Amino acid sequence: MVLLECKNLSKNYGKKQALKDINFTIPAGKIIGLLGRNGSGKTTLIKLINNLLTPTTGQILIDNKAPGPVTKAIISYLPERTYLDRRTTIKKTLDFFQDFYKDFNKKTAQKLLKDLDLDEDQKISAMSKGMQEKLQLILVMSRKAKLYILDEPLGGVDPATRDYILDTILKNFNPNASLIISTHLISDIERILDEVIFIDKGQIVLQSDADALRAKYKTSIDAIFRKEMKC
Amino acid sequence: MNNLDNSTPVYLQIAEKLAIKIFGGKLEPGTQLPTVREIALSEWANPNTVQKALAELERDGLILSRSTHGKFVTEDVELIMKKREEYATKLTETYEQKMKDVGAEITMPKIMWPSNLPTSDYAGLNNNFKSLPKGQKKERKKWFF
Repeated sequence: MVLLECKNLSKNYGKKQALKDINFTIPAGKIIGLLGRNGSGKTTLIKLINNLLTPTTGQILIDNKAPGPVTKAIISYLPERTYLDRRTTIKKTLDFFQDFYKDFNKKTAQKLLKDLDLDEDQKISAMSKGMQEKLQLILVMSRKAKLYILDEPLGGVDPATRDYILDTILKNFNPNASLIISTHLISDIERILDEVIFIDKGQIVLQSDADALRAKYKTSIDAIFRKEMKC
Repeated sequence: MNNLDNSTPVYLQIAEKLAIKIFGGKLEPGTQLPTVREIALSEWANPNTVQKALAELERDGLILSRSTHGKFVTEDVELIMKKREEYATKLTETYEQKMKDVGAEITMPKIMWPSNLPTSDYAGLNNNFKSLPKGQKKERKKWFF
Protein backbone atom coordinates (compact mmCIF):
# COMPACT_ATOMS: atom_id res chain seq x y z
CA MET A 1 0.00 0.00 0.00
CA VAL A 2 1.33 3.40 -0.97
CA LEU A 3 1.35 5.81 1.93
CA LEU A 4 3.10 8.75 0.38
CA GLU A 5 3.44 9.70 -3.23
CA CYS A 6 5.28 12.63 -4.78
CA LYS A 7 4.63 13.31 -8.45
CA ASN A 8 6.79 15.67 -10.52
CA LEU A 9 7.34 17.75 -7.44
CA SER A 10 9.32 20.98 -7.76
CA LYS A 11 9.91 23.86 -5.42
CA ASN A 12 11.55 27.16 -6.25
CA TYR A 13 12.66 29.82 -3.84
CA GLY A 14 12.67 32.81 -6.16
CA LYS A 15 15.10 31.91 -8.89
CA LYS A 16 16.68 29.09 -6.92
CA GLN A 17 15.31 25.66 -7.62
CA ALA A 18 15.36 23.71 -4.37
CA LEU A 19 13.62 20.59 -5.64
CA LYS A 20 13.56 19.46 -9.25
CA ASP A 21 10.95 17.07 -10.53
CA ILE A 22 10.89 14.68 -7.60
CA ASN A 23 9.07 11.38 -8.05
CA PHE A 24 8.85 8.64 -5.45
CA THR A 25 6.45 6.57 -3.40
CA ILE A 26 6.71 5.24 0.12
CA PRO A 27 4.84 2.11 1.21
CA ALA A 28 3.38 1.54 4.67
CA GLY A 29 5.42 -0.30 7.29
CA LYS A 30 8.89 0.93 6.43
CA ILE A 31 11.62 2.98 8.03
CA ILE A 32 13.09 5.17 5.36
CA GLY A 33 16.25 7.23 5.48
CA LEU A 34 16.16 10.48 3.57
CA LEU A 35 19.86 11.05 3.12
CA GLY A 36 21.55 14.05 1.64
CA ARG A 37 24.19 16.65 2.28
CA ASN A 38 23.40 19.99 3.84
CA GLY A 39 21.31 22.04 1.46
CA SER A 40 20.34 19.09 -0.72
CA GLY A 41 16.61 19.72 -0.27
CA LYS A 42 15.74 17.34 2.57
CA THR A 43 14.01 19.88 4.76
CA THR A 44 12.24 21.52 1.82
CA LEU A 45 10.80 18.15 0.85
CA ILE A 46 9.73 17.47 4.42
CA LYS A 47 8.10 20.87 4.75
CA LEU A 48 6.18 20.29 1.53
CA ILE A 49 4.89 16.96 2.81
CA ASN A 50 3.83 18.68 6.03
CA ASN A 51 1.99 21.43 4.17
CA LEU A 52 4.30 24.12 5.55
CA LEU A 53 5.30 25.03 2.02
CA THR A 54 3.37 24.77 -1.22
CA PRO A 55 4.88 23.13 -4.27
CA THR A 56 5.77 25.27 -7.26
CA THR A 57 4.65 22.42 -9.49
CA GLY A 58 3.67 18.82 -8.95
CA GLN A 59 1.62 16.93 -6.46
CA ILE A 60 1.89 15.22 -3.09
CA LEU A 61 -0.54 12.58 -1.87
CA ILE A 62 -0.50 11.27 1.68
CA ASP A 63 -2.76 8.27 2.11
CA ASN A 64 -4.34 9.44 -1.15
CA LYS A 65 -5.10 12.90 0.19
CA ALA A 66 -3.59 16.26 -0.65
CA PRO A 67 -1.68 17.96 2.20
CA GLY A 68 -4.00 19.82 4.57
CA PRO A 69 -5.65 19.43 7.96
CA VAL A 70 -6.66 15.83 7.15
CA THR A 71 -3.09 14.81 6.45
CA LYS A 72 -1.70 16.73 9.41
CA ALA A 73 -3.90 14.55 11.58
CA ILE A 74 -2.09 11.43 10.38
CA ILE A 75 1.47 12.76 10.17
CA SER A 76 3.57 13.07 13.28
CA TYR A 77 6.32 15.53 12.53
CA LEU A 78 9.51 16.31 14.40
CA PRO A 79 10.91 19.52 12.96
CA GLU A 80 14.56 20.39 12.97
CA ARG A 81 14.04 22.95 15.71
CA THR A 82 11.89 22.47 18.75
CA TYR A 83 8.73 24.58 18.92
CA LEU A 84 7.76 23.96 22.53
CA ASP A 85 6.57 26.91 24.57
CA ARG A 86 9.42 27.52 26.99
CA ARG A 87 7.23 29.28 29.55
CA THR A 88 5.00 26.33 30.19
CA THR A 89 5.43 23.00 32.00
CA ILE A 90 5.75 19.46 30.68
CA LYS A 91 2.30 18.64 32.05
CA LYS A 92 0.66 21.50 30.17
CA THR A 93 2.52 20.56 27.02
CA LEU A 94 1.09 17.04 27.28
CA ASP A 95 -2.42 18.45 27.71
CA PHE A 96 -1.86 20.70 24.74
CA PHE A 97 -0.85 17.76 22.59
CA GLN A 98 -3.84 15.77 23.76
CA ASP A 99 -6.18 18.60 22.79
CA PHE A 100 -4.47 19.03 19.50
CA TYR A 101 -4.07 15.48 18.25
CA LYS A 102 -6.75 12.82 18.48
CA ASP A 103 -4.16 10.06 18.16
CA PHE A 104 -1.95 11.32 20.99
CA ASN A 105 -1.55 8.76 23.76
CA LYS A 106 -0.83 10.62 26.97
CA LYS A 107 -0.14 7.43 28.90
CA THR A 108 2.60 6.40 26.49
CA ALA A 109 4.18 9.82 26.79
CA GLN A 110 3.99 9.75 30.59
CA LYS A 111 5.61 6.34 30.68
CA LEU A 112 8.44 7.49 28.45
CA LEU A 113 8.92 10.62 30.56
CA LYS A 114 9.09 8.49 33.67
CA ASP A 115 11.89 6.45 32.11
CA LEU A 116 13.78 9.72 31.78
CA ASP A 117 13.03 10.69 35.39
CA LEU A 118 11.41 13.89 34.18
CA ASP A 119 9.12 15.68 36.57
CA GLU A 120 5.95 16.77 34.80
CA ASP A 121 5.80 20.02 36.74
CA GLN A 122 9.11 21.09 35.40
CA LYS A 123 9.19 24.10 33.14
CA ILE A 124 10.47 23.66 29.62
CA SER A 125 12.82 26.59 30.08
CA ALA A 126 14.51 24.78 32.97
CA MET A 127 15.37 21.82 30.76
CA SER A 128 18.62 21.40 28.88
CA LYS A 129 18.59 21.49 25.11
CA GLY A 130 19.13 17.73 24.94
CA MET A 131 16.25 17.12 27.33
CA GLN A 132 13.97 19.36 25.30
CA GLU A 133 14.85 17.37 22.21
CA LYS A 134 14.04 14.14 24.02
CA LEU A 135 10.72 15.55 25.21
CA GLN A 136 9.87 16.63 21.69
CA LEU A 137 10.68 13.16 20.39
CA ILE A 138 8.54 11.57 23.08
CA LEU A 139 5.62 13.78 22.09
CA VAL A 140 6.01 12.89 18.44
CA MET A 141 6.42 9.15 19.04
CA SER A 142 3.46 9.02 21.43
CA ARG A 143 1.07 9.70 18.61
CA LYS A 144 -0.43 6.78 16.74
CA ALA A 145 0.18 8.30 13.35
CA LYS A 146 0.34 6.72 9.93
CA LEU A 147 3.45 8.58 8.92
CA TYR A 148 6.23 9.81 11.18
CA ILE A 149 8.66 12.34 9.80
CA LEU A 150 11.74 13.13 11.81
CA ASP A 151 13.88 15.92 10.44
CA GLU A 152 17.45 15.55 11.67
CA PRO A 153 16.59 14.00 15.04
CA LEU A 154 20.28 13.35 15.72
CA GLY A 155 21.71 16.76 14.96
CA GLY A 156 24.03 17.75 17.77
CA VAL A 157 23.22 15.06 20.33
CA ASP A 158 25.75 13.04 22.29
CA PRO A 159 26.21 9.30 21.60
CA ALA A 160 24.19 8.21 24.66
CA THR A 161 21.31 10.46 23.64
CA ARG A 162 21.57 9.18 20.10
CA ASP A 163 21.16 5.62 21.40
CA TYR A 164 18.20 6.76 23.48
CA ILE A 165 16.58 8.37 20.43
CA LEU A 166 17.05 5.33 18.21
CA ASP A 167 15.81 3.06 20.96
CA THR A 168 12.71 5.21 21.48
CA ILE A 169 12.01 5.21 17.76
CA LEU A 170 12.32 1.42 17.50
CA LYS A 171 10.28 0.76 20.62
CA ASN A 172 7.40 3.00 19.62
CA PHE A 173 7.39 2.43 15.91
CA ASN A 174 4.05 1.05 14.84
CA PRO A 175 4.61 -1.63 12.16
CA ASN A 176 1.65 -0.42 10.09
CA ALA A 177 3.01 3.09 9.90
CA SER A 178 6.01 4.41 8.03
CA LEU A 179 8.78 6.55 9.34
CA ILE A 180 10.99 8.93 7.42
CA ILE A 181 14.22 10.06 9.05
CA SER A 182 16.24 12.74 7.37
CA THR A 183 19.87 12.97 8.30
CA HIS A 184 23.38 13.48 7.08
CA LEU A 185 24.74 11.35 9.96
CA ILE A 186 24.21 8.10 8.15
CA SER A 187 26.43 5.69 10.02
CA ASP A 188 24.50 6.36 13.23
CA ILE A 189 21.16 5.29 11.86
CA GLU A 190 21.68 3.15 8.81
CA ARG A 191 21.18 -0.05 10.74
CA ILE A 192 17.53 0.63 11.45
CA LEU A 193 16.60 1.62 7.89
CA ASP A 194 14.61 -0.51 5.48
CA GLU A 195 15.03 1.79 2.57
CA VAL A 196 17.18 4.73 1.67
CA ILE A 197 16.52 7.70 -0.54
CA PHE A 198 19.59 9.69 -1.61
CA ILE A 199 18.82 13.28 -2.42
CA ASP A 200 21.32 15.62 -4.01
CA LYS A 201 20.97 19.11 -5.45
CA GLY A 202 17.20 18.87 -5.24
CA GLN A 203 16.93 15.56 -7.06
CA ILE A 204 16.46 11.98 -6.00
CA VAL A 205 19.57 10.12 -7.04
CA LEU A 206 18.69 6.74 -5.65
CA GLN A 207 15.95 4.89 -3.85
CA SER A 208 16.71 1.35 -2.75
CA ASP A 209 16.36 -1.32 -0.12
CA ALA A 210 19.20 -0.77 2.37
CA ASP A 211 20.37 -4.38 2.59
CA ALA A 212 20.20 -4.76 -1.20
CA LEU A 213 22.60 -1.81 -1.49
CA ARG A 214 24.98 -3.33 1.05
CA ALA A 215 24.90 -6.64 -0.80
CA LYS A 216 25.54 -4.93 -4.13
CA TYR A 217 28.38 -2.64 -3.07
CA LYS A 218 29.72 -4.84 -0.25
CA THR A 219 30.04 -1.84 2.00
CA SER A 220 28.01 0.37 4.33
CA ILE A 221 25.37 2.86 3.24
CA ASP A 222 27.57 5.52 4.78
CA ALA A 223 30.49 4.55 2.53
CA ILE A 224 28.25 4.36 -0.53
CA PHE A 225 26.87 7.80 0.27
CA ARG A 226 30.33 9.29 0.68
CA LYS A 227 31.42 7.82 -2.63
CA GLU A 228 28.33 8.86 -4.58
CA MET A 229 28.05 12.31 -3.09
CA LYS A 230 31.66 13.32 -3.33
CA CYS A 231 31.96 17.06 -3.86
CA MET B 1 27.67 -0.09 18.91
CA ASN B 2 31.29 -1.10 18.45
CA ASN B 3 30.66 -4.59 17.26
CA LEU B 4 28.05 -3.62 14.70
CA ASP B 5 29.00 -3.96 11.10
CA ASN B 6 27.16 -1.97 8.50
CA SER B 7 28.96 -3.27 5.46
CA THR B 8 27.06 -6.52 5.02
CA PRO B 9 23.29 -6.89 4.90
CA VAL B 10 21.96 -6.52 8.43
CA TYR B 11 19.44 -9.32 8.03
CA LEU B 12 22.22 -11.77 7.18
CA GLN B 13 24.18 -10.66 10.24
CA ILE B 14 21.19 -11.26 12.48
CA ALA B 15 20.47 -14.62 10.85
CA GLU B 16 24.09 -15.64 11.41
CA LYS B 17 24.06 -14.56 15.05
CA LEU B 18 20.92 -16.57 15.71
CA ALA B 19 22.30 -19.57 13.83
CA ILE B 20 25.46 -19.45 15.95
CA LYS B 21 23.30 -19.44 19.07
CA ILE B 22 21.50 -22.53 17.80
CA PHE B 23 24.76 -24.28 16.85
CA GLY B 24 26.36 -23.42 20.17
CA GLY B 25 23.37 -24.52 22.19
CA LYS B 26 22.45 -21.11 23.54
CA LEU B 27 19.15 -21.63 21.78
CA GLU B 28 18.33 -25.29 22.31
CA PRO B 29 16.30 -27.43 19.90
CA GLY B 30 12.60 -26.86 20.40
CA THR B 31 12.89 -23.61 22.33
CA GLN B 32 10.80 -20.64 21.45
CA LEU B 33 12.54 -17.67 19.90
CA PRO B 34 12.09 -14.21 21.35
CA THR B 35 9.57 -12.03 19.55
CA VAL B 36 10.52 -10.02 16.51
CA ARG B 37 10.26 -6.86 18.57
CA GLU B 38 12.59 -8.19 21.25
CA ILE B 39 15.18 -9.25 18.72
CA ALA B 40 14.80 -5.91 16.93
CA LEU B 41 15.58 -4.05 20.13
CA SER B 42 18.46 -6.23 21.22
CA GLU B 43 19.96 -6.20 17.75
CA TRP B 44 19.19 -2.57 17.13
CA ALA B 45 17.56 -3.30 13.84
CA ASN B 46 14.10 -2.67 12.58
CA PRO B 47 11.38 -5.31 12.81
CA ASN B 48 11.23 -5.81 9.02
CA THR B 49 14.92 -6.67 8.98
CA VAL B 50 14.44 -9.17 11.79
CA GLN B 51 11.53 -10.74 9.88
CA LYS B 52 13.80 -11.14 6.91
CA ALA B 53 16.50 -12.77 9.05
CA LEU B 54 13.96 -15.20 10.51
CA ALA B 55 12.67 -16.02 7.03
CA GLU B 56 16.22 -16.88 6.04
CA LEU B 57 16.59 -19.26 9.00
CA GLU B 58 13.21 -20.75 8.26
CA ARG B 59 14.27 -21.46 4.70
CA ASP B 60 17.31 -23.29 6.08
CA GLY B 61 15.01 -25.26 8.34
CA LEU B 62 16.73 -24.12 11.52
CA ILE B 63 13.57 -22.50 12.83
CA LEU B 64 9.92 -23.31 12.37
CA SER B 65 6.76 -21.24 12.65
CA ARG B 66 3.93 -22.59 14.68
CA SER B 67 0.91 -20.52 13.83
CA THR B 68 0.00 -18.08 16.60
CA HIS B 69 2.65 -19.55 18.90
CA GLY B 70 5.61 -17.84 17.32
CA LYS B 71 8.84 -19.29 16.08
CA PHE B 72 10.78 -22.23 17.48
CA VAL B 73 14.19 -23.77 17.01
CA THR B 74 13.85 -27.01 15.06
CA GLU B 75 14.00 -30.25 17.01
CA ASP B 76 15.78 -31.90 14.13
CA VAL B 77 19.19 -32.25 15.76
CA GLU B 78 20.63 -33.98 12.69
CA LEU B 79 19.82 -30.92 10.61
CA ILE B 80 21.35 -28.58 13.17
CA MET B 81 24.53 -30.64 13.20
CA LYS B 82 24.65 -30.70 9.41
CA LYS B 83 24.25 -26.93 9.17
CA ARG B 84 26.78 -26.50 11.95
CA GLU B 85 29.29 -28.58 10.01
CA GLU B 86 28.70 -26.43 6.92
CA TYR B 87 29.17 -23.28 8.91
CA ALA B 88 32.36 -24.53 10.56
CA THR B 89 33.76 -25.61 7.20
CA LYS B 90 33.07 -22.18 5.81
CA LEU B 91 34.91 -20.65 8.75
CA THR B 92 37.98 -22.81 8.27
CA GLU B 93 37.98 -22.04 4.56
CA THR B 94 37.93 -18.34 5.30
CA TYR B 95 40.79 -18.88 7.72
CA GLU B 96 42.74 -20.84 5.13
CA GLN B 97 42.22 -18.14 2.52
CA LYS B 98 43.31 -15.38 4.88
CA MET B 99 46.41 -17.32 5.86
CA LYS B 100 47.21 -17.84 2.18
CA ASP B 101 46.81 -14.11 1.63
CA VAL B 102 49.61 -13.43 4.12
CA GLY B 103 51.73 -16.16 2.53
CA ALA B 104 51.35 -18.81 5.20
CA GLU B 105 50.91 -22.49 4.46
CA ILE B 106 48.64 -24.36 6.81
CA THR B 107 47.23 -27.82 7.05
CA MET B 108 43.50 -27.63 7.46
CA PRO B 109 42.38 -28.46 10.97
CA LYS B 110 40.06 -31.38 11.53
CA ILE B 111 36.76 -30.22 12.97
CA MET B 112 35.75 -32.17 16.04
CA TRP B 113 32.46 -31.99 17.88
CA PRO B 114 31.30 -33.29 21.22
CA SER B 115 28.92 -36.19 20.78
CA ASN B 116 25.89 -34.13 21.75
CA LEU B 117 24.81 -30.63 20.99
CA PRO B 118 25.87 -28.32 23.78
CA THR B 119 23.01 -27.13 25.94
CA SER B 120 22.31 -23.71 27.29
CA ASP B 121 23.59 -24.78 30.73
CA TYR B 122 26.89 -25.32 29.10
CA ALA B 123 26.92 -22.35 26.79
CA GLY B 124 24.42 -19.94 28.18
CA LEU B 125 26.46 -17.78 30.50
CA ASN B 126 25.30 -14.52 29.02
CA ASN B 127 22.17 -15.60 27.34
CA ASN B 128 20.34 -12.34 26.95
CA PHE B 129 17.41 -13.94 25.26
CA LYS B 130 16.16 -15.55 28.43
CA SER B 131 13.33 -13.38 29.54
CA LEU B 132 14.05 -11.35 32.60
CA PRO B 133 11.60 -10.71 35.39
CA LYS B 134 9.57 -7.62 34.67
CA GLY B 135 11.13 -4.76 36.60
CA GLN B 136 14.58 -5.89 35.56
CA LYS B 137 14.18 -5.12 31.90
CA LYS B 138 15.95 -1.81 32.07
CA GLU B 139 19.25 -3.37 33.05
CA ARG B 140 19.20 -5.60 30.03
CA LYS B 141 22.17 -5.09 27.79
CA LYS B 142 20.67 -3.75 24.68
CA TRP B 143 22.89 -3.92 21.72
CA PHE B 144 25.01 -6.96 22.30
CA PHE B 145 24.59 -10.58 22.93
